[in-house]
Amino acid sequence: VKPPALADWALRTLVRDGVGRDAMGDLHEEFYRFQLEGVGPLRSVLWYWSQTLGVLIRYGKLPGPLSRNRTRLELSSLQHRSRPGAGLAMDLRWSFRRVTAYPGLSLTVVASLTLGIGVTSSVFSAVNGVLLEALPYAEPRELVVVGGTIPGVGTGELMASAPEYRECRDQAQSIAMLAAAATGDSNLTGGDTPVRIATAATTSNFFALLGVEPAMGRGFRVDEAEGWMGSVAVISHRAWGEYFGHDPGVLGREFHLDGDPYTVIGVMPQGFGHPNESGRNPVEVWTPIDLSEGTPMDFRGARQFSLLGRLRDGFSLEESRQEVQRIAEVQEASFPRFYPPDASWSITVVPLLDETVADAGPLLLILLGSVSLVFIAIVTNVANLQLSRNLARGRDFAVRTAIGGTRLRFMGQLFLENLALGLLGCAGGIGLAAVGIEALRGLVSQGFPRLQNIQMDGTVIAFALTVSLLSVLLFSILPGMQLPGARPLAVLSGGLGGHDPRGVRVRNGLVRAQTAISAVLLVGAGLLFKSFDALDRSDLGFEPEGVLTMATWLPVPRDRSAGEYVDGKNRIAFLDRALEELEALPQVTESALTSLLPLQGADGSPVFLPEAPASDSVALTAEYRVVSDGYFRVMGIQLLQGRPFDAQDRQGSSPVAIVSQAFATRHFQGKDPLGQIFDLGRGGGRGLTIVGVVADVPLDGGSRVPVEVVYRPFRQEVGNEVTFVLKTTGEPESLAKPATGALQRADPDLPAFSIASMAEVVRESRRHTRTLLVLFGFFGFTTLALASLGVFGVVSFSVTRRAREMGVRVALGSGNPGILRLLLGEGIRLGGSGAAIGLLCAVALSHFMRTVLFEVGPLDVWVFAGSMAVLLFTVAVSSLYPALRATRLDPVEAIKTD
Amino acid sequence: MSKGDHLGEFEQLVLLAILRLEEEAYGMTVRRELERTARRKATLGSVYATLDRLEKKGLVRSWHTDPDPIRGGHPRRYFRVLPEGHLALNRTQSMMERMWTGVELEVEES
Repeated sequence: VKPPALADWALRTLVRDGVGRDAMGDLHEEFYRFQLEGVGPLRSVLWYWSQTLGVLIRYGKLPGPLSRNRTRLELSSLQHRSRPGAGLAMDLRWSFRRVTAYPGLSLTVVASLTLGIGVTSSVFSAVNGVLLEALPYAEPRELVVVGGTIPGVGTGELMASAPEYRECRDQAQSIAMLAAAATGDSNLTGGDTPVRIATAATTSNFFALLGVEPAMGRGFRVDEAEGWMGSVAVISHRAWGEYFGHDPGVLGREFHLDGDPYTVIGVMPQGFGHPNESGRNPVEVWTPIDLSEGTPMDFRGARQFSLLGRLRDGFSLEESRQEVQRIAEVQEASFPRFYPPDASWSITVVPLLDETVADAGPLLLILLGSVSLVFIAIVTNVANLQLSRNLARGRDFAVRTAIGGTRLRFMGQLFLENLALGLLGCAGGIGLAAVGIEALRGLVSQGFPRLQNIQMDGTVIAFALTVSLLSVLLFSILPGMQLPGARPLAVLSGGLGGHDPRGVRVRNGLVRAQTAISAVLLVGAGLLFKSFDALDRSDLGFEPEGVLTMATWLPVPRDRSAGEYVDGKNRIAFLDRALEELEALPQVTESALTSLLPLQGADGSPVFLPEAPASDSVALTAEYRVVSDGYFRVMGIQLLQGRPFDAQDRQGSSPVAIVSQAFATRHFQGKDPLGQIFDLGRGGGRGLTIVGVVADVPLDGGSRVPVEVVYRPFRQEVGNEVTFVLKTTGEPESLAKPATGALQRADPDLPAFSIASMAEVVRESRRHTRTLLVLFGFFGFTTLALASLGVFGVVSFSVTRRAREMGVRVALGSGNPGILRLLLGEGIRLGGSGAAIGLLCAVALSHFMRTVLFEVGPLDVWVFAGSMAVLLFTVAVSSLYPALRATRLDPVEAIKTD
Repeated sequence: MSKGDHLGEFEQLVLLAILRLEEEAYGMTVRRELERTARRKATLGSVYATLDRLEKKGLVRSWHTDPDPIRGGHPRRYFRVLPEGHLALNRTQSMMERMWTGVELEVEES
């Protein structure tokens, strides 16, 4: 039997010079004496090892260029294992030293974590604030929306009429209380200035149902709405400040909504919002409405109320649903005229929170899913970086295993080390999230539900901390699992330096995948960017520059005799007056009006052509706009044929229309459209003669599909909604104040709202494309950063692993260029193959983007080439640092490494 | 007497072991002597650590012999107690004796 070679190796290599030889001599001597004395070989070997261990504890060191002092500390910490606390203190010191010993790597880890935690927490704040947080009402979980749907005719909105409200309220046992509310927009006058605000007419039990009392004054009494609508109002906290200047004596003050008088009886507390309201247009005034039998709104076909209920204790949502569905069946059977079978009338009950966030839910969850993927990639990346670093210490760990250090303890130390990094990353992440949340609020637009709830709060901070701790656990355990501790002998004697071909393959595969994902996203971002650019340069069909837009509403009060604008003649007279006032402004070169601006959506009307084939069962429709004479000039819409409207196109004269080119082409192909006659299924649009054809303008910002539009002169046909367009020589925005003044000179009670330059309207219409672009760009560059980090990790690891080879190469005269070429080549091959895979995927996937692309093919060569160039450049730069480090290796030290 | 001159128990034992071993005192024999006479289990590592410390204090001296084949070609490192070591042992002994004076223990060694 011979003394164990591994123990001798350890004594030779891992023990301070001199002591190892002495110890080995003594141990050999004793070992042979044992044999002479007949001690068993197993006992002898065990004894030999235990003695070696004792020497290692006191005189151990790490070989080669690896640390000299740290190891003694680590090893000596082993002997204190029995003393609780001492080991931990030792571990803490050790961890701290390790964190500061590799500042570059630690910084990379902290930066990745900052990015990951920041982004994830931002999105979480939205998910939490919008989807998870309880609504700000009493017992919010009991609150439900009750409402009918008529999917058969295409509306999924949960609305009900007055009789339906009464039947649900009186018959449903499962619903303890039921309120109805109809929201709309009204002109508020009698405050500081006339404004256009969102209002809600509610049954008198509305505030009681929500369990929220006004902060000042009181809610509605049952008798206050008797007959139809009351003349009292509760205003929002915001309205109190904005329109009544925080007047402490606001209770009892009078104001008008669309010309009808109201008295303020209450002010709601700050933060109170109408259930399920739009963030863009929050309700400012609540007025009472009576929905009893025989009141003016008592019409079964007028489904304009949303019903808000409170579930009775002891009833489940499902029971309630079944109950109201039975009510719906009775209604359907009793009033067949209002519930045609093909409409599939039904009533359902939906938790208020679900209904509030209905549209936002999927978007947020997709967003959360995406950032979670990014975050997982980050954690995996960090784990890999740590693994590279730990594998470089393969020997260290092997020795510790050999002399009795446990994997658990080693992993504990890894954990402490990572905890320090994780907490730094968490702090950075919370800071980044504060910025990210603001960005997110800007990104998701004003229409987003519960937008004000997206904020940094304790829950978000707790989330960030939890995520940090979890990721710290994860990237402590992952590298720990892969430690080569199971075979210390192989590591110690083989000089492998912890090289694990399987680990290398996994790591390379991961980097390739990251590069590929990054390539796909970069291509997406590139295509979107090019589309966006093309949209910017494209011919809109009109000239947005130098045009200010301003809307107003000509109100029709309940008391129609009191309404000036009930009569069409008065509307036209006012508009003529207003156009005159506006045109009189020195900065305005020409003024005009329209019922709806380009890019602001659809307002359609059926079209009836005399020569349409009788078999054509599909109703023809066209967009419908009412405009003034100068509209096409102000907007720069080209008149292609015929004449514009003029002062002769008025009530009583022959009804005329101007159509868009798309309309003319579609319906009068090959014939002269001028002089053709058709009908519109709307207003007084009978026997319209086409007097002109104008260029096409788009309906919305993302598409350029030509739209068929019929324009009518405002003096023949005008509604209540009007938007003025003003051509100015200066900055359109600077015109906002004078224009408002001019409008109010024409009628001091009319509000000016939606004041924006046409260029702003164009920008707003592209918000969707821009949001997509921002998201793609963000994820593209995040994954690019990850891939870059990955390549950095792999090449760094390669330098460590092949330090000896590098040393030999340098010693043999391979100059720095040779080493650089070798390592850069490795990084670029890895990143390049990933990028190539990614581009192939992008080729397969990019056609899904066709609908959001504009004038850019999904296989645009420049975008693909550009993405590839960006990727390869990034990969090369990421490989450069570790490659440069390799050229600075001292060949002598490096060769001694193994 | 300052604390620095004080000998730890293990240091006393190692010094005494060297003295007892006379010309045959090196790491392994010291360890064996501790085990045999003092009935103290000690690892080679801790013996070396103590020997190194004693040498640093100037109480012992060490020197290497020529390499020995039975030792795998490694030399022996012998130790001898210097006069300073004798003095230190003596001081410790008298200190202990002074402390023991007048002390009667009421235990029986089994």
